[in-house]
Amino acid sequence: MKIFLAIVSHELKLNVRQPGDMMMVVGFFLLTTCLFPLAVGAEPNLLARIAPGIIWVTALLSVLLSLPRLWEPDYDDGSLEISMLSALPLELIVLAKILVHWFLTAIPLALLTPLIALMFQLDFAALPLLVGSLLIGVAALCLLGSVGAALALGARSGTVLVALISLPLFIPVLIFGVSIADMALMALPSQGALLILLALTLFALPVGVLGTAWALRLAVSS
Amino acid sequence: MLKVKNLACTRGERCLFEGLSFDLEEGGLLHLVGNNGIGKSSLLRLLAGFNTPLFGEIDWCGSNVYEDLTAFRQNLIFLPDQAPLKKQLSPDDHLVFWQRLLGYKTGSSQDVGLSHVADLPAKVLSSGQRRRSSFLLLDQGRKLWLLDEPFVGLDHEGVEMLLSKIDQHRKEKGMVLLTSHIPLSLSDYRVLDLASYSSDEDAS
Repeated sequence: MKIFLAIVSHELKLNVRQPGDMMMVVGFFLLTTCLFPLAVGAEPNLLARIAPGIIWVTALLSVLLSLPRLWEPDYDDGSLEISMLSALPLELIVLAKILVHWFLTAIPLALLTPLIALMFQLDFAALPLLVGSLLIGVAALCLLGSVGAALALGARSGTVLVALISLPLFIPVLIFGVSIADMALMALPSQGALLILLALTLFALPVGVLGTAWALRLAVSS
Repeated sequence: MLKVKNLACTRGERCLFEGLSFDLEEGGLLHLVGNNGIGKSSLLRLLAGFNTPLFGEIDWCGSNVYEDLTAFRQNLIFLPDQAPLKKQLSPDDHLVFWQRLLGYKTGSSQDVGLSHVADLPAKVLSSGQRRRSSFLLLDQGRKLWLLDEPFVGLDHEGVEMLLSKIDQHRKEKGMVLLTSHIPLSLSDYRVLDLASYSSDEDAS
């Protein structure tokens, strides 16, 4: 547990010392959502209706953009090998790193969502569910995407490869994530979709952690 | 302590060496030599359990290391040829993290001659200073030291410092395996030339 917390605080420190990486993801999220009113026209009804979808797709792309820096720096500078010499199993090291990555990606996205909802004139009744579903859903995206990021280590044009591996896995999360806010907008019960999203995230937990550890061992051995 | 029996290692499609056997007793130092690409680094990574051998056996204290890799790895420290540093963190930050990660009790940036730059981020350090920072990973608690080209980039004083660290570690019954292209000014060590085990006809 002490080692787990040491890794968590080390990862937080790394990001505090170099906030640019995180800011880039946040900036991407903000700017890309701003493109939609310009492209589809500023019709309030239309924008309010498609807002959850836009926010979800852009959040998904932001996560995708942040994935290469999850394992690549550690793999490149050799700190991955060093952490494998610790008493903590690699699976828990993976969990600690994904946890921090989720925290640093999901929290800024969740904080910005009300602002973007305001821009799209989204019904504020749907906002808590949208933010909540983003927090849960981004966890699933980080877990599944981590496997893709670990598998792409050492490959040429890794970033594109990460996207190709991860995007198909993201589809179920996107479908149920968006439907939660959509149902809330239509004043339908969204509990079912929320539970399915939770189930998806719980399913992604072992898949993401074990899959990433396996892929990292593979990357280190080649 | 460390027993290697009939080891063979491949890299890609190519067989690097085969039939490699050696023992390393407490306090022993093994200097790996051989031409570039002969498999020195691969052997060190093999011994750290990152790669798996094509065949052969590695025993630690009488038991096969692959039976419990995590337990075995707590007996060793591996220093890659590049210092494993984060460019935004200082040597002291690394020391604090490594101590907690690897369970070290002692060590300070003074020991490796970095007290004047201990709180500067690694990106402003010279390559020799980065190399010295990586020596913060060397701890007496880890019996087996696997050092990949540890002398590269060091100044004269740095070489002396590392040699005395190695000397002290051996006095405490530690074991050291290192690769280096310069002869070591140490007493009582063995040299292992990988060329005699190479599968490549030209090299042997």
